[in-house]
Amino acid sequence: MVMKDEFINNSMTDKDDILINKFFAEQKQIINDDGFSRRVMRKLPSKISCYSRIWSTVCLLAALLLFVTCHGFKLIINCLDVILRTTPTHSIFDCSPLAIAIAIVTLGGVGIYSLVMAER
Amino acid sequence: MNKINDISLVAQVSVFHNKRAFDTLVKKYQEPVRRFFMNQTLGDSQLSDDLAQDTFIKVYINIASFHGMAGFSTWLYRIAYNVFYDYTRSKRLTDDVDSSVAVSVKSSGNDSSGMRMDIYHALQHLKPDERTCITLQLMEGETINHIAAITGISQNTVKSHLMRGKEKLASYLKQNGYER
Repeated sequence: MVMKDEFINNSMTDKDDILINKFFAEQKQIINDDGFSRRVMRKLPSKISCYSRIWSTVCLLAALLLFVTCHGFKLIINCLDVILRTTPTHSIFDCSPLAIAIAIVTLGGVGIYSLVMAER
Repeated sequence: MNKINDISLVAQVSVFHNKRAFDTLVKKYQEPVRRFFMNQTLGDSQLSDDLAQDTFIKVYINIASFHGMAGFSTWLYRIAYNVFYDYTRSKRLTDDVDSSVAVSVKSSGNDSSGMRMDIYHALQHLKPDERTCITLQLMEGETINHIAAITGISQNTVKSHLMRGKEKLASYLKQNGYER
């Protein structure tokens, strides 16, 4: 009798499981994106710009400190004076190839970095 | 393969702050996460979208804390579960302050078909934890281990929630003529 009851209970449970599984399979909603991911991306905090802003501020302060301690104004005035006096006697071809190569690599690097950041 | 792909995308977001990789993750998981919230809120699509948005923002902010011990989807559902838990707790507090607040209207939006209302009516008969366990297993196909990891409750309790939830659902379905 107990065995029979257990059998009935099990078969009831199996039936219930089938019923529930079928119900959930039929009811599973398909949710289209409909601009949801775009809205999420727009709301993301700009973590990177926050860090870079802090880093930029630190660098700027350090640069100002160096500028003041090394008498930057005096150095700039001296440099300008030398440039103005010697420019008429120089051309770009007088620069060393190493200096030109360094300038090209630096400008290229900055350009590529800007492109990569803009892409992100 | 799928898991490796997720980990690779997570690494790109975590190390290089690659937003395009995060966009891929959002597109991939928006459906299960929004469906999870739709089932928990009994069909409130606006609230579900807001909670899903909060979930993805939290994922982005805390992505460095994902160590790949569990699958990404389990970790994502865990955050979603916590977001919903925080929401219900704050709502309970607000309702305590203003007891005249009406019971939330289940906006059907564009999900107003009879079939969808049926599932929300059926889920209404379950307790919140039973609803979470049932929908994670029967809708999202999560295992008992994963459900325990997502909800932070023991496997035995998950099993008993599933059992009780299924009993209630079976009786609801039979009463409403689904047996035929």
